[in-house]
Amino acid sequence: MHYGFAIDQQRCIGCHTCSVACKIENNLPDDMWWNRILTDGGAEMDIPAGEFPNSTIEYVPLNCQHCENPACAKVCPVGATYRDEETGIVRQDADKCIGCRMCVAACPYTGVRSFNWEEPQFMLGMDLGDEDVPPHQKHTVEKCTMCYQRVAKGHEPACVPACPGRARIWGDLDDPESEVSKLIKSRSVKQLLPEKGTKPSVYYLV
Amino acid sequence: MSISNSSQSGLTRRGFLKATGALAGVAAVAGAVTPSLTALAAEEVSADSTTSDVAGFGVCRSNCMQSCRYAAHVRDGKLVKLTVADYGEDLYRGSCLRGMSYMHRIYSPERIKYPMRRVEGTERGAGEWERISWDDAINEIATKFQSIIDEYGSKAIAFDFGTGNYGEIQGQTGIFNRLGGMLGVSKPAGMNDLATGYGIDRVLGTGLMYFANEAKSVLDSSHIFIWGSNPVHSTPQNWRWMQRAKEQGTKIITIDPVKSATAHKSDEYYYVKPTTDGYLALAMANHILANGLQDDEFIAKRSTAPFLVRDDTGMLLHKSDFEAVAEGEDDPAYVWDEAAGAGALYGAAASPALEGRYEVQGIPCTTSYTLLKERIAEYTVADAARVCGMDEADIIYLAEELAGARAASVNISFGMDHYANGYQTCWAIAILMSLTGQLGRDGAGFTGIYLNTALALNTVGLWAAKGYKGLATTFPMTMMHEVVETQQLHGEPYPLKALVSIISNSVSNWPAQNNYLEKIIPNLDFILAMDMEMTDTARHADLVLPVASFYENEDFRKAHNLPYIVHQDKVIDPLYEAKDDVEIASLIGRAMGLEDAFPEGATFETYANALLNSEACKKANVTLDRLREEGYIDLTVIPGKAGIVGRTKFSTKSGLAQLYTETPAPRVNYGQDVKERFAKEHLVYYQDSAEVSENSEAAKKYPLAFIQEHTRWRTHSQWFNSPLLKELDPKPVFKISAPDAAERGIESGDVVEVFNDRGHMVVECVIDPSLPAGMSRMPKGWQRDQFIEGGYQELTYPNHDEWSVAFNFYDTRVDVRKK
Repeated sequence: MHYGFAIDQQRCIGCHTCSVACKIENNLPDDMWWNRILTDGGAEMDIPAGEFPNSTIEYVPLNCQHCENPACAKVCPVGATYRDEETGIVRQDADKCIGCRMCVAACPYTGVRSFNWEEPQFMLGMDLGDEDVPPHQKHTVEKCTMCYQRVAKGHEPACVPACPGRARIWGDLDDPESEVSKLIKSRSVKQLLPEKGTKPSVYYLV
Repeated sequence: MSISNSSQSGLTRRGFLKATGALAGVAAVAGAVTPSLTALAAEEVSADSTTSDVAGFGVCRSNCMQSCRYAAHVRDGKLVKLTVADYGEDLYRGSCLRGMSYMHRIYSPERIKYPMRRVEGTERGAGEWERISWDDAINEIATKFQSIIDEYGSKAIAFDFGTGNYGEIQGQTGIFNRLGGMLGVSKPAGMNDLATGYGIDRVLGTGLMYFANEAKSVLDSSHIFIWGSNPVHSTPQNWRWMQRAKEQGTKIITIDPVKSATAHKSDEYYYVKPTTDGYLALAMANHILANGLQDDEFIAKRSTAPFLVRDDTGMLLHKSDFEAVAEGEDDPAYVWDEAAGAGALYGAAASPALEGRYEVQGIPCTTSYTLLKERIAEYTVADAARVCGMDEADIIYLAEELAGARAASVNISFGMDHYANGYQTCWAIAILMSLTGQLGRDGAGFTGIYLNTALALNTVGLWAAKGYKGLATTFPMTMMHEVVETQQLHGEPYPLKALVSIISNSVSNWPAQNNYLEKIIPNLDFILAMDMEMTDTARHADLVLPVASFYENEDFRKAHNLPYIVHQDKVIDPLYEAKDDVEIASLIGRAMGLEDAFPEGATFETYANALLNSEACKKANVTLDRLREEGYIDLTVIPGKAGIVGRTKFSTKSGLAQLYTETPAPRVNYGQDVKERFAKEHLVYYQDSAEVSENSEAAKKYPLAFIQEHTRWRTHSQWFNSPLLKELDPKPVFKISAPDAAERGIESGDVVEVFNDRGHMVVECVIDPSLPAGMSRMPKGWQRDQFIEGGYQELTYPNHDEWSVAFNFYDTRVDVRKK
């Protein structure tokens, strides 16, 4: 089993609904986003590049790439981050994490990992989302878990059903009959920083 | 705090995406062995609206009109998650960042918790409040209302209904209309988003809001013209269908003065100078008619082309011109029967002449089509190229694409609506679609906000009890400041002393904010606001009541933009001391002696059953029990078919698309002169817009058109204070074109003052390549205290066209200087 995502950039409208679903499902602390929507255009969010009327803009939803060859796992001195062989999910064990942030430095996908410098704060003063989400701990690194708590119960990651554009497709990359595998086969795809050799499990349908 | 750069901008991306190469068609997926799962459930994955903490289902009821349905997950009495819930047709399953994060409004630290009274002796808007009990609040409201009614009459109280809740009982057309109608208060006539429908109604008879085909109809379109709307941001649930159509090969063409998010997603984009879209439509029609590209069959069979218009009166020649027609009896129009060489009633003529001038029993007449053709001949492609700022070749191309399309739909919302000439624009587009036969069949017609008309509810049952006086819609919203300031209407006394804000934020969402602040607020004796958050309006009230959120009461929403009537479960109790509208209206009603209309013990259920007590509901078997049980009920008229306006006939008197409007009438009659323009309103025409037009007085002084963008962050001003959304979109930002910025020495990130004669705002700016020179915009919904100074709604004007009587938010010119 090798779970992965296909993200259809033709369908993605950069609406952040997946990010919001992720933030709520995983009860993320204030100012933390495991899944962000990057503007591929100008320097500011939602601002295109180029000159009117030939401006261009695309969106790159970005979360942990759940690499087959994860740079983070190689450098973790305590085995807190590792690739789960059963699912292909790159996991992050907060109880083992010593907060050295070697994984943050090693990961080429800037910003997919966050570090809790202080005790995590929550804007509503209450827990949101799934009750099986592991607690957020001070001095630990965290990132997209592919909603492991949901996957374990047979559900898709929260970002997938949340997408109003149906741009996020998730499934078993090992199964050639899965929707995600078929899409990757039939469409033009790209991966982020393939030259880094990380072998991401996220495919962008371009 | 986290170490991650939470920035959502492109800056982070550059760090690592630069070297990313596209690997076309890569299919290599590693891992031949598939070990069996032990830790994970082996069953197929599913959506999660069936998990154990789902306490009920709800429908988002905001004014994006998209009606997304959610499963409400409740733990320890708190709403902890909203997940997307199913609809019968899967592509109607929708969601957005606002609807999904609604709990951030429910549990926001900024939520209004208790009834509050402005501290005596402080100014309105000064922000000093004292907590009072509900008993005191209701007593004070009833006492104030009664003393105003005793001294000035009940019309001296104005109920302002906004668009913050489209629940049938707790919302805009809900229970407060019962209270207002029983008291006999004034209700300023609504002016939001009504010019589009008013213009199209001239042709299709579709009233103000019923012009659109069902969203899924675009799957049958060969072409989608997105004209002056931006569904990618403002109606993403509709865009989902359009994207699906695009994937099937439908061509999407966007026409817009800015290269909107939708334009960036379209196959083709055409710039048009703002407010000149009507000219473009008429010139396209000109090219079509001049080259014989029109749909002759549609024109002959489905339009009023052959109807004869009297040259002397401008009215149609009717049966009643020659013989007595009893009241209520059909009074058809005359046509010229070519076979008989004589006038004949429509329907009785074997071969009605579409064109020509004829004399019927001595009365000279012209066919509607001939008059229309003569009118359209005035709008040439060459002139349009100049007026619209387009290439002639592009105008011709667009005309030929539309005329040649197998089935074209035109997505239209309220962008073009928001100008003084909005209704003429939309009228012109409806004429263009009639001439090309792009109406009334699969994939052809307008799309936008689809409202199912199949289910008539018993509004009278909800609104009226014995002694019902009605709501006096004597003047439109734009005249409110005049009436309040002068206490007169058309020179006659019209005392107006109290304002009640119901699911409304009119200080923020009516144009000419300074008029509101300087003429309305100081001249009222009493202002009551009911809300969840301290909006611009609540801040200026004397008394504020805390209102229940969508998930704290029961309601249902009727078929807004999809073919379902959808139920809302009450999944949590109202927080703090919030109450729902049924309870608040009942408390005020009973305190004012309206025990018969608001009997003790009457609840949501009482009023819901009254509203659903209609013939249509019986026929469709729509009951509260069924809604509670099933969550939503499908109201699709023809199973398997998209709802199409005018599939068999249009809603005009003749059932035909009207090329000539016999009896044009202003949208609202408030005492204006309706005679002067009557003759002009029969046939479609172009009119410059009041301010954005290059020919306006304002254009000499203010070079930039300014529009309020409807982005994903807010619905009008709702969600303005969501702590979650503010992490993504923290502050107001004004967007300016590169050439206009360069001319003023402005760079992205600068603080600028945007101003005109009416007001100003001081705000950060960004240079936006979506904008041509002369256009500027900013996402709407921010409240005054979120600006460095002023606010965008100070910039808009307080006038309206006397016929469409609509708000013209975008008909605004400004200039900008660096602070």
